Amino acid sequence: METRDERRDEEIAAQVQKGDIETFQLLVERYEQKMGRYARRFLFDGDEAKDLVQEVFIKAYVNIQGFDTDRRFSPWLYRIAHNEFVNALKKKKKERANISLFDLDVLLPSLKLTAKETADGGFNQQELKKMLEGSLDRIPQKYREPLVLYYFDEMDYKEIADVLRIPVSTVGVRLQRGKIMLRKLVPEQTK
Amino acid sequence: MNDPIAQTDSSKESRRIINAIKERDVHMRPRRYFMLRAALIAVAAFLLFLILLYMVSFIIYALHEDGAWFAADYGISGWSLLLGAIPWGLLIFAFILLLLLANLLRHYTFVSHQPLFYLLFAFIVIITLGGFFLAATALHPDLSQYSAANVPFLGNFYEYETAFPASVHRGVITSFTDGGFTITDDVGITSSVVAATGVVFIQDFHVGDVVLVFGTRNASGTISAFGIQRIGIATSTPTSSAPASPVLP
Repeated sequence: METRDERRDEEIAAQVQKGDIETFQLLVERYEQKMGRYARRFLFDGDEAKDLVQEVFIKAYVNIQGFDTDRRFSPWLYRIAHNEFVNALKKKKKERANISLFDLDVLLPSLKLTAKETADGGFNQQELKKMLEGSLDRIPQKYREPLVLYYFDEMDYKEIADVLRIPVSTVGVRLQRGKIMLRKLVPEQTK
Repeated sequence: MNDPIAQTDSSKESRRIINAIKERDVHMRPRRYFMLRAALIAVAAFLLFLILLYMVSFIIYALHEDGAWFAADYGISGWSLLLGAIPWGLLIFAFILLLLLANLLRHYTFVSHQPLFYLLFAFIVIITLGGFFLAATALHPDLSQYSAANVPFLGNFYEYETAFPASVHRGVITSFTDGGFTITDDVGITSSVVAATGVVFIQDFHVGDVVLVFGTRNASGTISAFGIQRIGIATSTPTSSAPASPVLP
């Protein structure tokens, strides 16, 4: 009979930091599917996504001593994945890399757009997820990623800000703009 | 996650990843690597901050030394003189360093969570205030003096940046004439100073005042001034040939 490990990710990571590679498998098991989905939503597919996910976990293992166990493990791992996927995209030259430091919405996000409730107006979660799933490839990466992290990986604004290294208010702005784009892409579902 | 087939697939995949780690002989980076990296970032950020402070204070010091700072009190001509005297290359370089500093500090989440504009604004205010403070100390005069004798490159830099622009003339008032006065500069050259067309001097000047005269020198050597700023009193006052002559509107 299989028993489920009830320890928190951070506790397991602390154990891995002591050199226990087998314990790392627990973290891989917990996040492997999520990372796979994240990679596919970054528009990678098949073996390419698998290889990238493998690289993410190898990098996580290599750098695990740099993880602060007082903080949440999930945004830390997603940050590694974000960097890995962005670099892979750069290599593919599919999209221009997102140089967030010089984006206007990183420089000075519009405060009017930051309220969480304005980002959700008019849609329910399930509808939005459905719409998003079908339109991911038509939304620029800059807006796609916060939408994916918010709706599919259920992160809050602060965690998304940690992953993308952008201001918390910029997360709100991008979610709002991403949803406006989505609404334009799927007009029949908004009626 | 309760689907046993999905769970098996996930286990297989995670086993594959663990095997890849073992096969590639991947090792964890030691904790001291991250501590060293964090320390290097902190030291680099601190050094950048100090360099910026030095550069901004130098710009303020140089503008005071070459007199252009005071020209801003004298209308559009004064402002254009000041803008022309600003070492723009240095200022642009300082801004690039500021962006570098902001980028470096974005490794810290408490910084990356703030809009970049606020971060840059806060830094500009802090560095400018710090620059004014530092410019008022003996740091730059001492460095200028020391480098002139010991560090030729830096000495030349100080000399070049603090040299008077062509339209700033420093001297001691030695006598008054019908339309103005004469000044003698540090190397003993005497020049006549008259008010430029449409300009009226309202300040009370005296023989022996050390002044900065803002204006162009014509072919005969007379300076047509659009502004005059008293910056001190000469320690050895030349013999006076005329009384104080206030020129009022």
